[in-house]
Amino acid sequence: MKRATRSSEIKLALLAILTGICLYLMPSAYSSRLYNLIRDASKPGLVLVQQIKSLRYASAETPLPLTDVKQLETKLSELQQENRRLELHSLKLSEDLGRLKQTGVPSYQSSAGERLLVPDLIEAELLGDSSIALLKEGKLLNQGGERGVFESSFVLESDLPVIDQGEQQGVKAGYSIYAGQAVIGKVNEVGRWTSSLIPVTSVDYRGSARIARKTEQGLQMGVDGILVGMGEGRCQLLQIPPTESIQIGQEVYTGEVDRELPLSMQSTLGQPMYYGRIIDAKLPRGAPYWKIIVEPAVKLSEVKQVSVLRKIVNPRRMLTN
Amino acid sequence: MKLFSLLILCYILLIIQISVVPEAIVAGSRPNLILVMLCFTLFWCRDATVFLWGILAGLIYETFDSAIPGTGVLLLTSLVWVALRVQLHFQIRSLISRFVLIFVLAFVFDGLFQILNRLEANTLPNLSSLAHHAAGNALYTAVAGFGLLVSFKIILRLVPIEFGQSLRNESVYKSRFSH
Repeated sequence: MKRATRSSEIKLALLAILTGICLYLMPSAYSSRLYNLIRDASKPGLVLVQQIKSLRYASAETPLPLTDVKQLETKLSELQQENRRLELHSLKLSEDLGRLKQTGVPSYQSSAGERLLVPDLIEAELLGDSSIALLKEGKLLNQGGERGVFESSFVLESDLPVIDQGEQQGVKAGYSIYAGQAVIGKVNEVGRWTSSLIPVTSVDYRGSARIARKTEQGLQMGVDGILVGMGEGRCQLLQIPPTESIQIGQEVYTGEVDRELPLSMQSTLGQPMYYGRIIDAKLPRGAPYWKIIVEPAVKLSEVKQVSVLRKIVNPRRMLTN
Repeated sequence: MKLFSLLILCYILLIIQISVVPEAIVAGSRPNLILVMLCFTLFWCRDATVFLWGILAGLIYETFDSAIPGTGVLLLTSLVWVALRVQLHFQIRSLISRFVLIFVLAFVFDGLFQILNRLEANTLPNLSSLAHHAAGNALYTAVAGFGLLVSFKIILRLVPIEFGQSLRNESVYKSRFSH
C-alpha cells in the first residue's frame, strides 16, 4: 500500500476517534442537536412510508359493525378514565414524595390517624320536566301540605336542572356535583327534598381550576385559575398568566381551593377532579392573562345520575367515641 | 456518482430500518441494515473513505438507539478499520466470504454495542443470552446483506447502464501474487 494511502487512512481513523470522544465529552444539549438533525433528515422518508401504509390499510380495511364500534368506544373511554385516575394517583404520590423530601421522614414509625371530616358522595338523580311539574302541583309530595310542608319554590321555579336530594340529605348550596370523576356543576338552591344545580357551562358558574401538563416526570399541575361558564356548552378559564405554557388538548382539573366558597365549605375529594379539555387558547399581545376556552368532559344532557360531594364527620371516629 | 448512490442507498436502508424492520422480526432477531450499508461501502470503496461512512453510521445508531454519545462512532470506526485491513489483506470478493464478513462484523458490533451501552446503567444481561441474541441479529443481517448483494448483481447484469464500474473500484487491488 502506498504511503499516502496509509497516511490518509490513519488521519481519517484519528478523525473518527476524535469525533467519538468529542461526542462523548460534549454536553448533551449540543450532541442532541446533531441527533435531531439526523432525525429531521429521516422524517420525509418516514412520512412517505406512513402515507403508503395508510393507503394500503385504507384499501384493505372493512368497516367494523356498529356494535363493535360502540364496544370499542366504551372500552376506550373506560381506559381513558383509568389512565386519568392513575395519572392523578402518580401526581399525589409525587407530591407526597416531594413533601417528604422537604420535611424529612420522621425518626419514629407513625401510623395514619383517622380524619375527623371525610368526604362523602351521595347519589342523586336529575329530575325530568314531568317530575318537576308534579312537584310544583304538589301531587308528588303532598303528605305534609296540610302542615305547610312544601318544597322550596326557589328550587321548583328555577330554570336550572334539579336533583332529587335536598336539605334532609345534608346537601348545602355550593356543594360540587360530579358525574364519575368529571365536575358537572354545583348546588345552587337547596329545598327540603330537591336542589337546583348550576351546570359548569352556565354563566353563573365559577370554580377554581388548574391545567395539567404531561411531562416526563408525570402529570404536573399549573397555577390556579378561575373557570367560568360561557353558556353554549363552553367554559372559559381566567387568570392564567402568560408565563404558563398552554397547549390545545391539555386537561383542566379542579384547583386546590375554590375561591368562591368559604374554607368550611370546601368540598374536594382530596384529589383534583376533571373539568374538561382546552379547545382554544390565545394570548393577545400585551394581555395580562391567557384567553382559554374549555370544553367540559360531560354534558348535562348525557347524564341521569350524579353524585353530590359533602363532608361528614368520620363514622369511624364516631364509633370510637 | 459512487458517493451519491451510496447516500441514497443509506437513506433508503435507514427508512426501511426504522419503519419496516420492526414488523419483520423473526424469533426476536432483526436485521441491521445500516451495518449492511457500511459493509457495502467497504466492499465497493475499499479505501479510507469508509471511516466517514463509519462515522455516519455510528451517528445514526446513536440517534435511533438512544445510546451513549460517541460509543457508536468509536466502535464502528474501530471495527471498520479492522474489517478494511482484513478486506485488503485477504482480497475478499466472493459472496460467501462477504456473507461471513457481514456476519462477523454484525455479531461483534451488536455484542459490544449492547455491552457498552448497558455497562453504564448496570443492566448487563447474561453474556450467553447476549451472545445468542447478537448471533441471531448477525445471522439475519448477513442474510439480508447477502440477498441485497445478489439482487444488486442481478440488477447490474440486467440493466444496460454500467453502474458497476463506478461501484467496483477495481484499481485498488494490486495483485500480490502475479509477480
